[in-house]
Amino acid sequence: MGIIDKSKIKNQKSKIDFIRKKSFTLIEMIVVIATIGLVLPALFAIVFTILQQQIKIQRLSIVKREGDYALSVMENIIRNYAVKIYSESSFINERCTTANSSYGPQNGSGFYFEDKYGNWFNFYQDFTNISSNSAKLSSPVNLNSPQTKITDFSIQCYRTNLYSPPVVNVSFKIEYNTTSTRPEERVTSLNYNTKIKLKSY
Amino acid sequence: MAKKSCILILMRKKNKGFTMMEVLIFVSILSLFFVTAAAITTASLRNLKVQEHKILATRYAEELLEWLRGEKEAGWNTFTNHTDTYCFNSSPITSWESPGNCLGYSLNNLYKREVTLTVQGTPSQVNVSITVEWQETGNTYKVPLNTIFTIWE
Repeated sequence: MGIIDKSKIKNQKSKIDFIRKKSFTLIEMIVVIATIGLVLPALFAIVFTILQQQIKIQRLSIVKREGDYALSVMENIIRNYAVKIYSESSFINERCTTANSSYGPQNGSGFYFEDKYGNWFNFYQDFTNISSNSAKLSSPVNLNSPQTKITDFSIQCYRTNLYSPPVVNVSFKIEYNTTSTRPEERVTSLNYNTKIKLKSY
Repeated sequence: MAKKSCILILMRKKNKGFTMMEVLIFVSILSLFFVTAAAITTASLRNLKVQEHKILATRYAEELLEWLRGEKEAGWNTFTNHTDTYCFNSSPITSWESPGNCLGYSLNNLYKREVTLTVQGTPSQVNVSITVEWQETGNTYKVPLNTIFTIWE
């Protein structure tokens, strides 16, 4: 009898123990939450850095692609078609005709080329864009998208002596068009500069 | 009957948790996985950084090439007077630098940009060899750009 009673009590006790052991203790919960709290921020920091870096590369490649495109278009058109330079589209006031002369208006406004068919074309800065216009176009065409911003656009011609044709100097800066001032979101601006001799002069 | 159920409950109580070995194996596999993931992530991040610098380096090389082409267009004779190695560690380029190799990586605080000009013929041809170089995580990266300028173009 006595033995049965004892085992009954033991039985009861371990049953209670079993039921109580089912939940986590406070210490266990704290340890788990602390570990998660350490790992998650580190994980997010890594993901954030990678995303930021990818955005930077994407923006840089956009800026470079559009800059390359704008320069190559201007270079090819001027090299292949430009004959003379005027300050008016009506072909009055020819520029860079004498030795040691130069001409370079602000933003390229008032800088017109005459092509070999007698039509005019020009390149100028229109706010954040490089615009290309000609007698054959109904409206100007932008050489870069609104994603990029052009600054310090300059187009000028100069002539060192009467026996060599005028040289046209084109230069501009291009950067990513963002209003953000955070340094990690900005992309370094790229400089573009080239000179073209008017072969058909 | 009562004894049997007591033993059963005791066994269940003993078997409830994982053994030390199981936990060790699990944790080591998990840590192995995490270490590999972290290694891959840092490698890819470093690679992204190198890609960004490579884009800029290519731009710098092209900038010098465009400037040299401009100098060539402006006057062939003055251009062919330059036959040496030149260091152009400033951007935008404004004028010819004095001959010599670059002393340091001062272009954008990262790059050095050198060009070697070799004249051929009377001179009728100039071989242009541009190198933009930078150092990153113990490696030296280079972006070479070679071209030929001739008087007949």
